[in-house]
Amino acid sequence: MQGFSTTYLIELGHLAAFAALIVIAFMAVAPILAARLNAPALARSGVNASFVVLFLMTIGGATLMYAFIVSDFSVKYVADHSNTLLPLLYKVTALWGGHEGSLYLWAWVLALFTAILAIQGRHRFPLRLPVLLSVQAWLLLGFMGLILFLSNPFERLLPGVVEGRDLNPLLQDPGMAFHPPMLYLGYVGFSVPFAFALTALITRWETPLWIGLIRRWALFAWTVLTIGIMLGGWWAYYELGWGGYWAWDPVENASFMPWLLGTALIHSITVQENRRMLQNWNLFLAISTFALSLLGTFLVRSGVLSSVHAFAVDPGRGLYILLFLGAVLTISFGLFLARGRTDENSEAIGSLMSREMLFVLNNVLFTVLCLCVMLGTLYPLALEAVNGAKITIGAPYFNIVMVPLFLLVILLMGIGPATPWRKADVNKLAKRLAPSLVIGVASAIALMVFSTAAHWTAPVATGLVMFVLATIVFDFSRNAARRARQAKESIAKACFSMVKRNRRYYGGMIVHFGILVIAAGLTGSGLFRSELVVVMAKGDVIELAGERLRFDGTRQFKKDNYFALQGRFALLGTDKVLTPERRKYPVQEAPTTESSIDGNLWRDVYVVIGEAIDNRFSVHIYVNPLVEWIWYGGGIITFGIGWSLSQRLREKRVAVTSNKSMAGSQV
Amino acid sequence: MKLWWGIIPAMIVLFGLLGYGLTSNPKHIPSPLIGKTFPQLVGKDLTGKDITLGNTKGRPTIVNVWASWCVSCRAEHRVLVRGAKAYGSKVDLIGINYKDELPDAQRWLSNFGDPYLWSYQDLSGRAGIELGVYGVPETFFIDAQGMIVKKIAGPLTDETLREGVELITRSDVAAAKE
Repeated sequence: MQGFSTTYLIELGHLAAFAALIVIAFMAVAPILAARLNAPALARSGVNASFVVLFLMTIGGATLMYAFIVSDFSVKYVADHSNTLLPLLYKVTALWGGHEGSLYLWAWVLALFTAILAIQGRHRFPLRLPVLLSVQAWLLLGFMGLILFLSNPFERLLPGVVEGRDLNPLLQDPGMAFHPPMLYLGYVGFSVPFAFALTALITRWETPLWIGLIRRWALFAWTVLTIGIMLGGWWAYYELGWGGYWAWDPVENASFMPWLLGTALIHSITVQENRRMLQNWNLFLAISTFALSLLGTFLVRSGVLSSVHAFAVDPGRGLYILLFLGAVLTISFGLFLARGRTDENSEAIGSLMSREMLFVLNNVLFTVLCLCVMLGTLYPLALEAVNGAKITIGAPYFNIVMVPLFLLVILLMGIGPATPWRKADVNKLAKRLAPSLVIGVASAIALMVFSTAAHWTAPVATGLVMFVLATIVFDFSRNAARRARQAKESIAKACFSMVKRNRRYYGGMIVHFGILVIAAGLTGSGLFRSELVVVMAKGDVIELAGERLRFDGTRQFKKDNYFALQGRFALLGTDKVLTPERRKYPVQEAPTTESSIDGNLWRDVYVVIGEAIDNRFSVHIYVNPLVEWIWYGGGIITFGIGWSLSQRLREKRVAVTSNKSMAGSQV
Repeated sequence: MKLWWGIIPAMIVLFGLLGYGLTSNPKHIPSPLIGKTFPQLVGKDLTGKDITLGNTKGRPTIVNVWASWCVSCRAEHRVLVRGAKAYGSKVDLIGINYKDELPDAQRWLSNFGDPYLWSYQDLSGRAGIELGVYGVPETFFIDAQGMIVKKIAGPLTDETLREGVELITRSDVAAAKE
């Protein structure tokens, strides 16, 4: 029996969320009021207000989570997305398994980051902080308004139902449980650079004074977005049973666009820190990256684009998000056009062969990549608007457009870090890169000779990956040797202390290495995969790409909230057994396939069991080479960014100068 | 740097598109089967008798895809029972029992009434693949020439059923006149 206490708690949470809305509204207008009433104390209150908001929204979230844990089906959102039979982990993660809850999570993360920003800014940039918090509060206001008035997770279902409708079985999976929160951490993380950009425009804060402050936020947001996208791919790979991990689906693209522009941003921040260039470009990127995060949310949440990720379609919500997005973009780009271009006192690029020029090229490439994804995502909509035709744009377009551009990106990754700032001596640079180039070309030729390459991109990608890998290794060993000579250390100690001292640079190199590992994984699994659909009876043996599988029959069983048919396949020559399943979740009436994978460093054997035809089963087998490298690469990237972020010294210096100069020029 | 002003037209285009997207329904995907003849499927009905689905020439037919595990089919079922009484003289109503268990399906029909002339056993869902079914319920309206005139995804209402019946009986009349 759901007692009085649960009912009371969820209403308390609802009340807390409303109270948060009021405090947020106050936070949003506080600096405006402070300026009008000439009351600086009012402006400073934003800091405490942000803590109160976080506290209230945490109460709201906690009561919702509690309602999920105790299966309080008098809460409509719980009744729609949970079930008493659901395992506890998924009861908790069901909190963001639907539209209302995932928006709440979005807003909660925004409140969390706002509070962190408040703590960070109290002493480091106190004069600009009220405006920063106000920008964040306006964003929060937009989201909380949507949540409380159009997508309320606290809505009651009275009298409550006896049993909930269960979570979508596809989401009952560890990969999917943490994919959305990671994406949201990334999306929302980009709100901080955005708030800095707007604050800079509003208060005429010179970019060099704050660009160092957003670097860590941008890197953090980029990393969690990367992890989020990776988790999504990983989930798609083993859960959806089609042997792939990325389908250029509109919703995937929605998360990929901010990632691409975010990649441009983290690189252009470096240019500005080192060379004081690209100020307007950085403002533009900071605004656009977050705008794309909002656009991503809009595309997913409004149902504008048809996609495998079928979310609730509600025109009222869609209109609200569209108006909100419109307001955010109009105000931010309006401010940018009105004020952004006044401080064009940055240095010009001196030489075409300089590191800054290569950074600019990197930015051009990533922006073009982002535009291509946007074009492919929105083109079907445009076509429908023009002549009513319904089409979908799939992998062929994206492969043709994106792959060559990505290959160029990899090439830049080899040349860029080897090129000095300002002006490179072309002969010296060529000499430096020549050995790596030889290695790259040699491996491309070797691949062409020793394998029947499926596509021209295979040798090119392999050659480029080996080229960049060689540049990283040579650069590292050259530096280590020099340090060992100068500091009279052993080579091993020199390597270690070098990486320990210059964390930003080597962190970046580790990330580049991770990208290479992913590129290798994409090449291997994308171009060298084998695939077979067969009908098998018990005892049949099938061979694919050197792997031999024997079908040992099926069994049926019932577990928690589903029924399963499980096949057994012995991987001959090893003691491995593969057990793909077909599951039926009676409450949601949905069948799912669970693929079974035997993975090692070199290849995945991936089996999906299909329909039974008179005791014979249709079986889909894939052998995907190097696919695990993609996930390892993700891990390496995360480590590399962590390493880079662990160097704080430089940033403290920037913060001190920014405070000093601000004290000099009172706002 | 006049280039930056390009942001404005880009935004106008973007919002025009998104606004348009909001007004259109992405779930509405025209079936490629419209205007084609209904595919012939040989199989069994729920009593185990051999039948051929799609051999409907000469009489307007409604083919309804249903399952006992489908909640919205339950709501639709009342509409179909009423419809079978009202239009039974003009059109045939045939069911496709989709990805179901035979005893469940039989119990459903004896509990709630059987509006169908007969129901095709599609326990494996293969007929569903043939017809491009992606959700239950789904309904096909077929005219006297055996041509699929209309497809409705999701539960029928009295209104949509009546419109569908009118559509296939009218084209029947029109064809007879030719």
